[in-house]
Amino acid sequence: MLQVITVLEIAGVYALLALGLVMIYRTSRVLNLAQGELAIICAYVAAVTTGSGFPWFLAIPATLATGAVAGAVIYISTMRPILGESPVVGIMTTVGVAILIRGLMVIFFGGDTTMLDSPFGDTVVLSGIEIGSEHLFVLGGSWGCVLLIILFNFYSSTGLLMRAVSDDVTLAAQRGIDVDRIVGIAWVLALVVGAMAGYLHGQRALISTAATLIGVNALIAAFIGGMDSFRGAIVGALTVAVVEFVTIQLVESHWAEIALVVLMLVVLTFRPWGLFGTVEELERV
Amino acid sequence: MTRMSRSAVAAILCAMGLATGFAAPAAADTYKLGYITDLSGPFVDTFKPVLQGFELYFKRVNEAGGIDGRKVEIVTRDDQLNAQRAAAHARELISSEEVNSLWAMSMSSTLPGIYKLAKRHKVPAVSSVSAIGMTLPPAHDYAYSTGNPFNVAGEVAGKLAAQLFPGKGRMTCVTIESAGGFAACAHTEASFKDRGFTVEKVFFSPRKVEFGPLGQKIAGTKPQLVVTHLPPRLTEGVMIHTRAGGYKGPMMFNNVSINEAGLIQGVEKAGVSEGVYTFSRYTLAHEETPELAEIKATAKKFGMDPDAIAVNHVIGWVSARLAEAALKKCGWPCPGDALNNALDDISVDMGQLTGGPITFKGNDHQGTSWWKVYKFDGASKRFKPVTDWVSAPSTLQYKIKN
Amino acid sequence: MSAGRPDPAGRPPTLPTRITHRFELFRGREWAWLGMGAVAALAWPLLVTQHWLHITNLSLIAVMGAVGLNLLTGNARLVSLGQAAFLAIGGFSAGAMAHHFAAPFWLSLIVAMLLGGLFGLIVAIPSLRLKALYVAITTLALHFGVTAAFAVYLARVIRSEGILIDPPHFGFFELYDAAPWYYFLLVIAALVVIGALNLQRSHLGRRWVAVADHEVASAALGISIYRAKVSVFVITSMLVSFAGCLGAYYEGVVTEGFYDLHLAIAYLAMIIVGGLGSVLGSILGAFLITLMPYGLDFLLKIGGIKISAGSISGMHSVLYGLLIVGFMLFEPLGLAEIWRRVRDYFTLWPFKYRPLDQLRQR
Repeated sequence: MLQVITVLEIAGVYALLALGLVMIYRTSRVLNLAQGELAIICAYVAAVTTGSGFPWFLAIPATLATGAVAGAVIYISTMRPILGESPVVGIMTTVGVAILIRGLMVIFFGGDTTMLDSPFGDTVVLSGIEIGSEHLFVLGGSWGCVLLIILFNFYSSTGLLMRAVSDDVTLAAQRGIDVDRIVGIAWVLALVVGAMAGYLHGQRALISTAATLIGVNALIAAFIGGMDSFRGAIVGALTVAVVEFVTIQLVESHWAEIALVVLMLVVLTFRPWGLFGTVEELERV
Repeated sequence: MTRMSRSAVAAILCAMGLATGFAAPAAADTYKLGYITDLSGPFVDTFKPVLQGFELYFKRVNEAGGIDGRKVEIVTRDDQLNAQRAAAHARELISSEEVNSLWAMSMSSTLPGIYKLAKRHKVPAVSSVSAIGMTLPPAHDYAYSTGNPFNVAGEVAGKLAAQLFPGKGRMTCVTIESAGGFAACAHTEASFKDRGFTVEKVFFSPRKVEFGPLGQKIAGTKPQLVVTHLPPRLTEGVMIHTRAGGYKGPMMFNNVSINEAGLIQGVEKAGVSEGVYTFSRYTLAHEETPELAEIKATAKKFGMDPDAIAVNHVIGWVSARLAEAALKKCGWPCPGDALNNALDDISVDMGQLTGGPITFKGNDHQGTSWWKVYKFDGASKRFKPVTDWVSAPSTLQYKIKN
Repeated sequence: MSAGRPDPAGRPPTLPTRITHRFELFRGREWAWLGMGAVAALAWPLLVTQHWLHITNLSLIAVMGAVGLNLLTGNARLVSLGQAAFLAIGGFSAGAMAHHFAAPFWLSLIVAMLLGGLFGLIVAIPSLRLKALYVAITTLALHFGVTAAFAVYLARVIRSEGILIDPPHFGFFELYDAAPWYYFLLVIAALVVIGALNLQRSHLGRRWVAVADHEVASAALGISIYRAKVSVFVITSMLVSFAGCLGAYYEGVVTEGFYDLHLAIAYLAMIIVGGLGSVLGSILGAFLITLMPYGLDFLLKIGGIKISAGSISGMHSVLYGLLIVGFMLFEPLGLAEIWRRVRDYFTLWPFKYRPLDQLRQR
């Protein structure tokens, strides 16, 4: 029971980050290697706001707003100029953004390690097991957001436009869709979701520069599931969380990293497009 | 003027500028100590106060006229927990700044490189937080430590636990998957087995950010006592998630320069204030001793909040006292080699900041250490001593097979 | 593959043509410059302090690593985040050979290259089926796998935080001090640079570029994609491991913590800032990025500016980030291109453009 909750909590945070990656990849074909860094810097903002006495219902909007602003700034200043260029350029630019944010973390937050306080009471007894309320909060918060993203993508008009852009950008542009705006919205949304993931991560674990590694696990999740599939991101996140949990329980934590890497390489060798990704067509000469 | 000669003149001017710019500054009539530590990595809140303690002591010394009229200058460098940067800084401090010794250092992974350089350049290096096997007898030349050697701490943990938790039981040792961690739990295991305990060991990666599964694994070993040998913050992370995993029994943390405030924050987040123990070779700042009052008074004098003084400051202060004693013994001028001779046979009483004097003699560059267990008192939110000082020799009692 | 979609603004592609047929630094009478450069290089240890000589040595080692990475990422367009892993393979081969077998220097270098090549092969295999994008993630995976494995090796086998390596010996001569190392590294780095320049012009180098430009078209022309990708991975991995091994001998100690992701990103910064696909760029970038943190410290020191040591390292990261993003956006051809423009400006002055009959020489 406790184990299931822990796995679902971890998976929830990974799923949020992976969904952000997928949203960005689908619309702009950029692999955002700065997702983990962005999530953690937002978590730092949350830590500072709650640390200076603001309640959680103000801290969360502040965190999400940081994510939104970061998304807009990154999109307008770095991503729009390179739209449509080779994927190599996109990856390199996000690597630059990642290291830049890491530096900002050190400058503004001293690279310190902190924790977030739980917004609710102490512990809850659930069918005989004592569980910290923050764990239930993370569980509900993360999967609730996952559901919201899915609903947004499939049942809102902006979601429809985003899907159109991801299917065929040229066609979408020809039909009068403002591609620039849609891609921008995707970036902002993805980073808002990433900020939420950072906040929830801070609820259950430590916030530090090292914590940016959650971004790597989310990347692995997205790759296992398929870079352009929402369903894949969720399945990938669950797989990563389960594999991580089981290896730590049965073997040791060093092997968890290696196991994830091996799993991803195996998946990519046999299904390079991931479990649920679209099989990309051969290029024409 | 032709293009060629114009550029040539420019190049020569440029080279001259570089040469004058890079020239070393002249040595002044002060003792120059090199100080390398981590001021920007994840453990900055551990290492920075140690530096503050070290600086406070020498600020006071300098204000009182220095050592025999000569001021002490501390040249600080940030290694960012990176072994290569630490080594580069050590080279630079020795060759450009001409320091006569290196102090503090950060994580144990930076130590082998620095000790190696220290020996090569005949400049003593004294670590104050981490400690590795190179300072235990037979110690490497020029390598000293007043820090927390994990294997000695492992052996003393059994002795301390025997006082507090008499009788046999199950214990779990938690540490990071590194050479130091490995040795710590191997020695903890030996010393606890000797006292009739059954021992489980849990290792985890120092890069780990997910503590949930780990906490459940520790709780799942059904221990009656948990002992950890972990860096700060990881200690708190493990505490919180082991509690969340359902273990409410006693936990004993090796205090590797873990400041009290951080530990208390962890206790509050974990929600269980009973059964929190920490064992330390330095007096925690929650105690009241004349020396601690002295540190707090000095802090106040130099514009620091005396309430912020923590065990980390004590660690820095102690190594500064050692440095002062060694410099005095060395006299003037005091190049690295002479300071090494002074350190090679020294014993400095630290009053009630440690259980006994810091002693280096012959091939023992660690000396006997004294350890004490503190228990968290939920009512006053302070750590209170529950044992007396227990000595731990630097020669290891248990031989661990390789 | 890299052709991607049409550019909405209809601009020409801004990435470089990745073959530079000529080493742009020296042309015609510029051999005089080469002579001056050689004299300056030989006299360098006399001009600077030990500290700056040490940093020069680190830069020379970085040049070798950056040249290797640039062949892979700049020429073959395979973004590698596994640079630190390959350096670690070289470093740990040196450590393991010294620790277990007390092996001589040259043998460690050979073993490091072989192991590097082997791991290059291992990464190349899944990458064969993948697009450039995916190579970034497989090499990232390699990074985490390799560093975790080395951490276990140090903890379980070596039982120490690091492996100490004795300086290499040549007969009675011990390669320890910064000045002899400098000359040694200078020679090796020069050989690596000349080798890389030749490689770029060889059939192999041209195939790499062709495959990077268009896989299907290259296959249609009879180039084996399989061989091209495997060869570029194996050769560059060998080179990078070689640099890692030299670095370990130079430092005299190998620890796991040194080979972090930050190192891999620093190397990416080198080739981006220097110029993707250009050997000259690799050299300029390696020097600039290695010097940058020390240079910044130095500038702050002579400027008398006191900043808390913590923020300084944050500023280093911010600078790396700004340099990468800035060059990616505004000068994708890097310092090599800036150098070419500056040189043209001076050699052509007072004219702005090259005369028509010289244009073809470029």
